[in-house]
Amino acid sequence: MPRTNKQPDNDRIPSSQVAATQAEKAHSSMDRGEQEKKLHDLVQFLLIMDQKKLPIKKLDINKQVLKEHSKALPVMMKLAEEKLRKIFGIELVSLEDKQKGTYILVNTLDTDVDEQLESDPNLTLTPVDWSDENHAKTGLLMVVLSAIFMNGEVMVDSQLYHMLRKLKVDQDVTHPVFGDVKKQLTVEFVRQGYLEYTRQPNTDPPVFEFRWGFRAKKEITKRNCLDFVSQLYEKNPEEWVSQYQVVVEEEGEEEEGSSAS
Amino acid sequence: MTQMNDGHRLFLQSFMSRGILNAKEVKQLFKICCLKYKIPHPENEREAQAPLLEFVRTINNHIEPFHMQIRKGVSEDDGSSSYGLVCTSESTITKLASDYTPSELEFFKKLIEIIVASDNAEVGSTETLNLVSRLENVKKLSKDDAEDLLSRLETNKWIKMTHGKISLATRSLLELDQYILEIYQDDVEKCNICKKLCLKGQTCPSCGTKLHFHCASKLFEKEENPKCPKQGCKKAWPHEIKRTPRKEETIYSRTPEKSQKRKADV
Repeated sequence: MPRTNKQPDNDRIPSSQVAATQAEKAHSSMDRGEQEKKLHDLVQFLLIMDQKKLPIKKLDINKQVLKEHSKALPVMMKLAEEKLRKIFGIELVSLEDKQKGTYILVNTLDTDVDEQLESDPNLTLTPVDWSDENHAKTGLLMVVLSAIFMNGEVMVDSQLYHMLRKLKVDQDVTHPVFGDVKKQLTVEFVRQGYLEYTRQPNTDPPVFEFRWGFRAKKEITKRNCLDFVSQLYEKNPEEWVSQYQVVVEEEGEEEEGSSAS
Repeated sequence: MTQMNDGHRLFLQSFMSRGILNAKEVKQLFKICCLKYKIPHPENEREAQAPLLEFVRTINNHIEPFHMQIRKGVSEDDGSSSYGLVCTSESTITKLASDYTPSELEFFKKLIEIIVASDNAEVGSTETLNLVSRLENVKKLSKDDAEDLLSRLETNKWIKMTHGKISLATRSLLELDQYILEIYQDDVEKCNICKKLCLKGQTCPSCGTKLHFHCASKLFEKEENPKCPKQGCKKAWPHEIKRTPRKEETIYSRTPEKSQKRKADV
């Protein structure tokens, strides 16, 4: 980007606007055929990269797909977002904070079979096929996420391991299904964006904290977790006053968000 | 062009997840998608056929620009139909898609090679595992790795392993028929009747014309003295014709095993 001469603050055009118009220029400089091709490549690329469950970096998008047209990224991403939603039922999410400049894909469809269908003996097919290993990992994840939520949205590592040990999932013992449990929690789930694992400052020996990761926040609602725990304990969700409060707040935010857009 | 709704999207996602579904599963999936998203669905199975095809056509129209298509394939073993989601181009981007490492892909290519060269499009497990020594320019695989790979290929429905014999499953034929026809042009035949790639089938000993078992069955259904269909040959067809009775496939057939299973679930 060419360096502009220093201008007084009130005259400065926000850089996001500059980038946006540059993107539009870059996009319209491509001929129609190329625009279409790049868009389709981009959608395919996003679908494929998301399979690895890692956030997709703008850098890789430019390197592997857009190449000489990387200035057009903002426009192309908007178009790709629309295609993903309309054709595949998938939402493109731009991450913030630490992961700014990366994207993940989140399903907008609920792929579970409804209860009414479950009772039909002729409809035994589950639309989306999961391996046993995946099912088990999701079960573990749900337990961990629920525990963290019920504990006030953060949990110290020793606490979490203590709880899991009671469920016969021991971080020091190779688990028949999960293998190295500690690695599953601190590496795998963190890499995939389900958990956040941070070190508490000034602790020696080091103490770590677990929180929900960006993907968990997008894929699972706090209400899901509270309902899950409520079912386990055969209680009403409202009986957990502070957690229920958090759930209601989250849902209030969601409503505001959707009515604003 | 008809717009897609959530029913189409769930249907598509199911294919993206499973890769291939047999005819019965497709009908079930269609019904589930319709019920879930309140799309009208005829009760009668025969009446559901046309709406199903229209449904798939709509999806195919939308995914075609992404080099994806839902296509029908026929099993070379028993003539049963399946529908698979195939990739219609091999670009650099789709090469990234693989669940398999470059070594594993190379192994699979070599497996295709020996299957094409074999008599009945099937090879033994020993011969297959020995392929690890023929891998070039890629990271080596051990025989254990190869065994694990074969197991995964079977789970993901790319190959069939029965009685110690390995052959390509319908999914592979759907996805790779163009590839095989191109690379092995002189070594493979197309079925005289359906004009599709024919790996497993019957061959006329006189002129070499090849027919799929199920194509032969249909062709010779009412023939007392089946003859080779090739113009200029017409010799007696010496092979046994699998006269498979037409199965009336309904999605409402209650099999005893199924109802017992439901009881166990509850």
